[in-house]
Amino acid sequence: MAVVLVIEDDDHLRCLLRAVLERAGHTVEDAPNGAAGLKRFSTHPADIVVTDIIMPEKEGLETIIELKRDHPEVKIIAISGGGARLDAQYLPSAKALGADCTIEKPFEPREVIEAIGGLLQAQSHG
Amino acid sequence: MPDKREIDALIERAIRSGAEVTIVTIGGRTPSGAAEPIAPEAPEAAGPVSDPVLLLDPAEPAILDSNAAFQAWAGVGGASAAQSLGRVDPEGRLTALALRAIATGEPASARVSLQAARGRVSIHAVAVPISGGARTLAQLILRTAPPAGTAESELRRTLQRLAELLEALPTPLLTLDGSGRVRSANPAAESLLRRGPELLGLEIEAIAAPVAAQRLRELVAAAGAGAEAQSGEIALTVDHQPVPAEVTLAGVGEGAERAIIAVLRDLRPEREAELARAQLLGRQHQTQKLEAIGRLAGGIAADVNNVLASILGYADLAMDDLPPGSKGRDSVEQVLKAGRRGKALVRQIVALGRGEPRPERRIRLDELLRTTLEVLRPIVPEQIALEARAAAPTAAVMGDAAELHQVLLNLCRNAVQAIGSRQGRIEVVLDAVEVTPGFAERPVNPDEDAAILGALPEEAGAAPSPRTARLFAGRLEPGPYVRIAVTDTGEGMPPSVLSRIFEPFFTTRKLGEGSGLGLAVVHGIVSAQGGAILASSTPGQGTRMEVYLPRSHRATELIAEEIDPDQGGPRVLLAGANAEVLAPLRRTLEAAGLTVETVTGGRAALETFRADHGRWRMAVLANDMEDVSAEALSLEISRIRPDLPIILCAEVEKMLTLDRLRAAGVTETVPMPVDPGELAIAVERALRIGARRV
Repeated sequence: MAVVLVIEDDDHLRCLLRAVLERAGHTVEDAPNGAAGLKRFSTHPADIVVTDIIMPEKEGLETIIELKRDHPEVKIIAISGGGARLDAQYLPSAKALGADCTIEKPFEPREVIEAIGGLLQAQSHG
Repeated sequence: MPDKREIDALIERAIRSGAEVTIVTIGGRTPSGAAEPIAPEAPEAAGPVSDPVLLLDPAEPAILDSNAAFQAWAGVGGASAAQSLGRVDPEGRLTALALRAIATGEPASARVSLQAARGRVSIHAVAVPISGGARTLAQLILRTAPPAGTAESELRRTLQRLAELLEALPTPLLTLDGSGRVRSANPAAESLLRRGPELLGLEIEAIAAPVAAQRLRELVAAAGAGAEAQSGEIALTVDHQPVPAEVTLAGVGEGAERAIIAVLRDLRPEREAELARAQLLGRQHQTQKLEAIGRLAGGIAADVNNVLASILGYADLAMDDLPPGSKGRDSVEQVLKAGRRGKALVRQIVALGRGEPRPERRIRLDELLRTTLEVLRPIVPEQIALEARAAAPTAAVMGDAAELHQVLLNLCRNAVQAIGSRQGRIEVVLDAVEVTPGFAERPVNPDEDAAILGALPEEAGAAPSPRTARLFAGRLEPGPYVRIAVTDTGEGMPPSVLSRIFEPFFTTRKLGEGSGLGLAVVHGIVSAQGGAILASSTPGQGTRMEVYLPRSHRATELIAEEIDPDQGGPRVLLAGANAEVLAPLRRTLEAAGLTVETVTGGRAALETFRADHGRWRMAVLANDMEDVSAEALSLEISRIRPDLPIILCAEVEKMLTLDRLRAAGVTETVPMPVDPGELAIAVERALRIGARRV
């Protein structure tokens, strides 16, 4: 099991992710935006970061860049709404900037669980 | 045989009755008989005596006699004058004029275009009927310009010039007499009305379509009576078809001399331009509307997604807490189902709102059909026969596979719903077509639409239905396209419904049965890919949807065109040092649809090539061989077949310089170890541009 940091500005989704991940046995930290997320990570380092892309304060792409720069070992899952025109373009960008995995909203809990499982497995093999 | 006085009197009468302004004076002697030639005559100083005159037998038709003035004017010798009618009057206008005079027993006059010695001239001709024994003949006097110096001759010269001007005028123009009979028509008018000299003497109504005749007569009457010019839109009759025209009429002269000039303007080019403009505006309007709705929908989709993710997520968590078989679990399952429907709906909306196409790849039609059918078959009920085929399986389009899949699936879903619980049939055909100019604007063709709907067995033999309506959406430039056609025997649509099918959220289904987004999504995807949709529907019979997507000029397609299945001969010579080097290359080339013949060793390759060098479409050389270098092999191949594309695969460090590559006839290079994608691209390019060196 892993320590997972969830960065998501939508309260419902953040709580949902926490519930889903905790139920799957992970330890969950969370933050409502990128800036808070990075701060949280500095005090409570995580194995995996699940981050939304479009958020106030500090958006997801910037967060991914900083996380990967300072902590190259951290695994990142980017989640995006895929709604507005530009939004759809963000997931490939997130991947290019270092996200290990991307998930399009609306996702179902098992997609996130499976993605985390996959990353952990790759890590243990690597 | 009338004498000169009688003829003069006849001409005089003609002038009075027709109010013609020409003064007729006969120059040559009245011919006294066909066999007797007219002696040359000196011009009379007192007046114009040198008008060309000829005696015409319109039954032959032939010139029986002519005077010296005619022979000089026409540039024919005395002996050959008799045979010169065809040359002087190739359109037979003099004959027509002669026949008219003979038919009415009155002199007839008209301006005619003839071939004179100095070239094509427009000339005033007067025909006088003459009873010549058993035959009825006509004497024709051609009114050339008289000698200068008299007031009369000046007047005639002016009139002549004026007449010539009207002849040359590109504007269609008629002159009418006071009673509305056509007295003259210039060539532009004859060309517009597609009639010749028979226009002369016609009542004006005869040139108007039946519905417009009365109106034209009224305009003529008003122009004849008043000083104001009259103008109106009149449907003219041209080849029995109504042609819109603007007719402007103005009266000139007084009393018996009163005449009317009619200027005709063909309105067809304007009408066509107006129609094209209206169609363009209609299409723009439709596109803008879709874009606006798409933007709005796309904007809210992100928020809706968050809501849906919460619903789906919590419902999923709740499921884990509820024992199997419990009522609560059933209820939560419904929540999940509804959430997933919402998720699918949001995806549709997002597809609609996205203006730019997604990253593209080449998609072959047979692949597209296969993947779609996998999803489609389960949703087609048993009572509906589904027939699907890719008529041009190797034809390909560039696009996003998921989107094209969505297009085909949405069209098929609609077809299934249109048939409902009845027995029916759906036909899906993917083929390659050439779009020609004006394709989209072509009028409804009942035969074609009958063929479309009639292609289905249930409808075979059915008469073309006039109720078939069509709707075209998108832009279609001429060129090669792939067509995805889905035809059903469902309930069909009336024009009022058909005209709105691409509007987002427009649906005829009950609440909950359809989102009204399916065809809007199809429209959005197809438009973004530069394609178009043509919908035809006949209420009670069925609907046909045709999607046109620009065809990709890629290897698969080119190869399909190149390879003659009857011949089946190898087309690509693949040469290399050994089988290990060649095997992966062969796989890539075959995957691109090429027929590959591999040869190991340079000499063997050259022998194979020379044996029948005309059959190769391309040569692929892998590195140097032990016996011959790739450079030497390429040089020899390109010497024999300068048109053959040659691809050289070699390690970067061993690659020849550009100059040497060019000199050796290499058209493409691919670095080793070969990346299959890179080789496929080189193959495509080589097939497309041949051996043209860069």
